[in-house]
Amino acid sequence: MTGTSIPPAPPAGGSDHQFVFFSELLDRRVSVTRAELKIGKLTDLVFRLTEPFPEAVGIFIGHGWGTPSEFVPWGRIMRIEANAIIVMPPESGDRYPPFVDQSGWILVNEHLIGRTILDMDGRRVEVVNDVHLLQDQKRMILAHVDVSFNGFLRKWGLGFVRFGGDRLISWKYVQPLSIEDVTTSDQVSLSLTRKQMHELPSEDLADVLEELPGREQEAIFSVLHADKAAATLLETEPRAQRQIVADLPPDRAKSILSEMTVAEIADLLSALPWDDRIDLLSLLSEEHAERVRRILGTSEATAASLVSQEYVAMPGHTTAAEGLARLRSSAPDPKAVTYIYVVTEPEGVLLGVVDLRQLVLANETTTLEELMVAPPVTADSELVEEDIVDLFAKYHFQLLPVVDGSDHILGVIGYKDIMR
Amino acid sequence: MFWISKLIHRLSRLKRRWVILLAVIGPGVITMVADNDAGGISTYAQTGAKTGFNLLWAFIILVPMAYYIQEMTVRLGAVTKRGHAEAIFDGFGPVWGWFSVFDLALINWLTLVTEYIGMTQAARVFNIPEWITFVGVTGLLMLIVITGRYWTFERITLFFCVFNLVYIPAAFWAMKTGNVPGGWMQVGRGFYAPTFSFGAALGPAALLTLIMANIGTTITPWQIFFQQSAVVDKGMDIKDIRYGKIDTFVGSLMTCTVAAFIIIATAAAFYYHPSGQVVVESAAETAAKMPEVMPGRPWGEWAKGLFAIGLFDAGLLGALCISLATSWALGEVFGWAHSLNKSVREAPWFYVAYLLMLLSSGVVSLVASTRVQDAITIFVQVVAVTLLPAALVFLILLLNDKPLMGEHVNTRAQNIANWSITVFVIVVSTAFGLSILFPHLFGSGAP
Repeated sequence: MTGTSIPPAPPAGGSDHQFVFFSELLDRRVSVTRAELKIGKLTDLVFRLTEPFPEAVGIFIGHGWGTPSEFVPWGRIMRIEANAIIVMPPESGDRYPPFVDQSGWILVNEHLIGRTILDMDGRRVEVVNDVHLLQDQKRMILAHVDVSFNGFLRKWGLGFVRFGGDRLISWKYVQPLSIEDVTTSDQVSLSLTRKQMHELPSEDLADVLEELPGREQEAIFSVLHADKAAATLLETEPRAQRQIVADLPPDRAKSILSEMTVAEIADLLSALPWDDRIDLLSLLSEEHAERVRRILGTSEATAASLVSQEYVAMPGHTTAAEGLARLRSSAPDPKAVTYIYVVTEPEGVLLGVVDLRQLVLANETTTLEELMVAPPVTADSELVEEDIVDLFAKYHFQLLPVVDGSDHILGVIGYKDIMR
Repeated sequence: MFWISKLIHRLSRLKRRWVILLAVIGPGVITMVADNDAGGISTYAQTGAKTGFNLLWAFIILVPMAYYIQEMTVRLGAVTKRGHAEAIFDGFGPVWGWFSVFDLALINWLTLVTEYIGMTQAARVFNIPEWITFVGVTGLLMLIVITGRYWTFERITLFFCVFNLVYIPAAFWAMKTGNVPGGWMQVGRGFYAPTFSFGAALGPAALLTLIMANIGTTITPWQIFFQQSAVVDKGMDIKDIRYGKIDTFVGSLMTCTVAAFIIIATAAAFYYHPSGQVVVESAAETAAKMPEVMPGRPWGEWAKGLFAIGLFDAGLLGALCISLATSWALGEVFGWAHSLNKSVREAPWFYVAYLLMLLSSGVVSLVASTRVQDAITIFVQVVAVTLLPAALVFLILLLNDKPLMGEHVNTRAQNIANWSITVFVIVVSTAFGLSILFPHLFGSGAP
């Protein structure tokens, strides 16, 4: 994991740059023009969330009870010395104006230190113990977060105790998890700029969600697109599923459910308390709800009750070129195009199966009839779950067509619908 | 030939039902069998030695009692997907929630000490030093749970449950001595025509205490918590409830059958001893005196060995289930990950709590003097008196919550059965607790 080593330094404005830990700056004296003229202590640093690295916009000086805080804009800082930060005098009056929060600003101490973040590189949840800052004469940027125990020790003034190496994670890979804390005003925009979240496999996202407390779990889940949310929800363990579902608004739940097959919905619902289950069932169409109820009501769900209609069927005389063209124009769910089922029209009797890879490699004029494997492996509509599991285990297909007694295709069952 | 294929189809359906049933069986049988823990064996041994077969009828009543109480936890767990501690928190607020969990943790810890004492005493019969038993048992109990799969834990535990059946051959051997006039007919009379002859060994107050102890050891608070958590951790769903009920019934039948056979064994060997009744006060004493009362070699030595194995197994199962019940409950209220399907890394606190319970109670059992051990035994009963009524009443109230339970809410018949059992148990366990605190409350001659 690159997070454990120090990634290459981001481009700094000048040649004279250095790294500094936030814990070293915290509580440093802030003085006007001369070290002796102290106006307060640095209690926090304010950054603007710019890409790729946040840039410091000012110093926050807290004065404790009753006295308003002061905010020194970064441009007013003259230099940072070992025991004091020297700033220019305020433009008007004898004190700086109080801090006013702005959209897209974060306070290091308030919003980052001690909070959980997602290390996108290591795909793990970590706690920020310190922040590593890169500084030159003009600017300061937030380069890394430190998640090691050393950072924790430094925070409590025990920096001389060393405990293994520092573990710095480049800000590029950091996804703050308490989103509503990080951006008080504009919750979703931050996450949308950080598209990486959607690029994590749903299995990893599921692991991350399981580790988070309820509020943060909810926040993360709320920024996922419905399809990603559905895949992630199906991958999480039952306890996390229950928590997430309990917090879902109905319209959001509805759009997530619409991304699942009937078998997947039944699988999810079987892990939920009865009252939540009733709520979710009421969001489904009458026909879907009935099918889900039937699967839930029995230990021996049949293939017919588990089928989904997400599959591609074409007549045998279709050529490979036509077939590919039809696939592109109809734009089905990508998961459904793994196999093309060759059927008679209009009866829908299943004749054979063409693997997508064969179709892509085939001559343009070859017909599906010539390409297909026949007779295909099918699941009889009367088969029960266990038998279908055996079929998947034996043939390693991703989809199995389900047929009735006279070989009419009724739909397909996906590997993920059943192999849990 | 159509009927052949039809028959094969029917048979395969039937076979599948069996497979499903065998897969669902677990929480009920384990809960019930673990209920015959070290303390339970002692109680049954005393009952046999002091009253002969004359209390056997009680176990016919205890089967439905145990079943009705535990069956509720199956429905509650499968419908709400919550453990009992969490259900109390959600239903009755944090005050009752913390009360229940604190009480449960305390009583479970104390009971664990008695399980360790039982196991070390049983191992002593085979000349195994106490500390070796402690280390070995704790290691074994840890190994059983850390596989990261509930399923593995359950199958291993079911295997240990089978050992509980050793008391059945023990009873047959004891009957073979020919001590009992009338043989098995006399045993049968214990079910429908009990007669009590009070003497120095058994007064009316002592009899009452024995009856109460038998009920108190069959229905305990940790069972409610354990079975519901196990049902949830196993992932049982509403459709599995009917199998879960069969599981629970099989379990309650097993626990009472085993209890009855322990009583038969000890009654035949001690109560009907040719040279006069021999009184025993504990399971360990029972095992130790076996060769003395069953002189015909090798039966006496074998009976002693069997009794010790049974006692050890009972302590092991009890310790396993009781510390798990605590870990689950603590995990539920503190919000830790708490599942046997999680690895130690994923659910550290769950396993840490489990191990700490075992280590601390085991050490106490090693260092405690006999007086402290007796005090613990008494204290367990007293704490049980405060927790059991609350747990039972909460259970029934939750089961009557229509928005929570849907169509699996208690029926009128179930309510009548459950409330009568609960009132009965509360009266009996309170009386039992009081009789232990104030030995002379129910007349003189109490133990």
